[in-house]
Amino acid sequence: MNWLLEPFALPFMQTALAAAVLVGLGCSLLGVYVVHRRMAFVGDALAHTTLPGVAVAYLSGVSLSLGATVAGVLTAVLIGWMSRRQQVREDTAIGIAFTGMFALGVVILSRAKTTRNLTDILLGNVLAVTTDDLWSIGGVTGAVAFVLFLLHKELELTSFDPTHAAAIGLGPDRLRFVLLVLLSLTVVTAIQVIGLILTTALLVTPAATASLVTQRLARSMAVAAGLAVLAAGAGLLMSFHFRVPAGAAIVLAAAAFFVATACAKRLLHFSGR
Amino acid sequence: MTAFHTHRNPYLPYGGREHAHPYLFAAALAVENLTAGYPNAPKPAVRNVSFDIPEGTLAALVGPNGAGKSTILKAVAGLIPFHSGSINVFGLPPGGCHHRTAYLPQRGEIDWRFPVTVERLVLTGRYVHLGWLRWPGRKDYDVVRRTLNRLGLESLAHRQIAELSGGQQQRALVARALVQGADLLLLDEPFNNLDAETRADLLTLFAELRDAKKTLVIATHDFDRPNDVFDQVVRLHGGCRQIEPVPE
Repeated sequence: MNWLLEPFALPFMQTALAAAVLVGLGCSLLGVYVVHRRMAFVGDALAHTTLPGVAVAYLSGVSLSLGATVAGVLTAVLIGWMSRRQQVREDTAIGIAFTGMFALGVVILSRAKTTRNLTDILLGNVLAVTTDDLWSIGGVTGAVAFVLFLLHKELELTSFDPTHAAAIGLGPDRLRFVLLVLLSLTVVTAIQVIGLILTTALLVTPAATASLVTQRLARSMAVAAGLAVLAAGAGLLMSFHFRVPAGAAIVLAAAAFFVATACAKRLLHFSGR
Repeated sequence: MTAFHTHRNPYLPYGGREHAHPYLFAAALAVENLTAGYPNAPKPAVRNVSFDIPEGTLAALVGPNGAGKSTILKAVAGLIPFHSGSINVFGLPPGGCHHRTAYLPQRGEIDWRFPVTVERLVLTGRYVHLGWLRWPGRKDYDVVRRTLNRLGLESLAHRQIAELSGGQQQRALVARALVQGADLLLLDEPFNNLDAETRADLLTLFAELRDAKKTLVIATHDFDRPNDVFDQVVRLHGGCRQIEPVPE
């Protein structure tokens, strides 16, 4: 029991836990849409395109999350706009934008003297989260949950039947745009906790695990959120006791839940159901 | 090649506040000299097509693939803009009466694996009346339950939509149109990939709806002799109305 609780008596571990749980909640709620609307690639791209924003913010001494947010929202707008025009296939456009922006970020950062910040951005550093960061993370997660709640029926409908949605005046493009903006905000908060490279994992893995268990949208969200919270706690414990990076440990925990659920489902299936 | 000029998409208000009343005695659907097509297409898919469909008719739009059947239905539903001519639904242009118009997409256009139940799919028919920030209430759920009963879907209400057969999926879409309270149903290839028995069942249902004063316009290429089945047949070929010989 001590092994489980003792680490969280430390103030920096409490802040880290709060940050990881909040980020996990935001990511997993949105993740249900990401998985079922097949937006995983977009999520990954949004994470990568924040790099130049972070780099510019770092070099000019502005808040890193502000730089990331600006870059992320800008990319969301761009992707939304490009997929509307359909000049290029959407995944192609995203592929170009995200590698290009990421390369730009690397080039800008190479002008900086230190590489320590690059590692933090790429792999996350949840132990460095401050109370101020915590407020902004909480704000984003709260906003995501609120918008998903308010627009639940519209987001649900445009996800599975965009034609009917358009015919009743709902404009699937508009709602996709809302999702992209929420996604970019969430991704920025996730970068602080698990890093840019692994952000997609928090979006996809808990929601995918939930989709193995339930076939209802609202329940999927609840299950995914629960799994993300568990993964956050388990990952931080692993990180504390075995001295491994927290972000990677959280992602590993989430992946382990997925594998365990998939195996359990298979076993139930074979044992005569 | 340059895309032909199109008007903007018609404005379709979401939510019940701006719904207009239909004109009395107007045809359910009146299409006049319609030229329409997808905005980015090099040329219109439909050229100068005219026809009227009175209320309470089971009508078919027939013709080979690419004849413009879907284009006409989508233009009527306000999903694509039209170049010239006019469309009137119960005397109003597209968007004026869209709460009384239901477009039932081809089944392939819906993501059937999305985690929603049959009940929730049918419930989405109420959304055009609810609008932003209003949750469906008990009355809405009551309408859904009654309609599911009427179409023999009550036992499937809590199934995920992918568990339905093709015929049941089509029935669920019809249920949604009825829950919406639509009087004009535009059905895009509802008989696709259905066996003969299911097709016959579906046709019986459509005839019942017609008898209940609904107007159905069905795009289809599944019937060898559509005139035996439908009250009215509009034949299209290469985007133009084909005038058929008067039957003996």
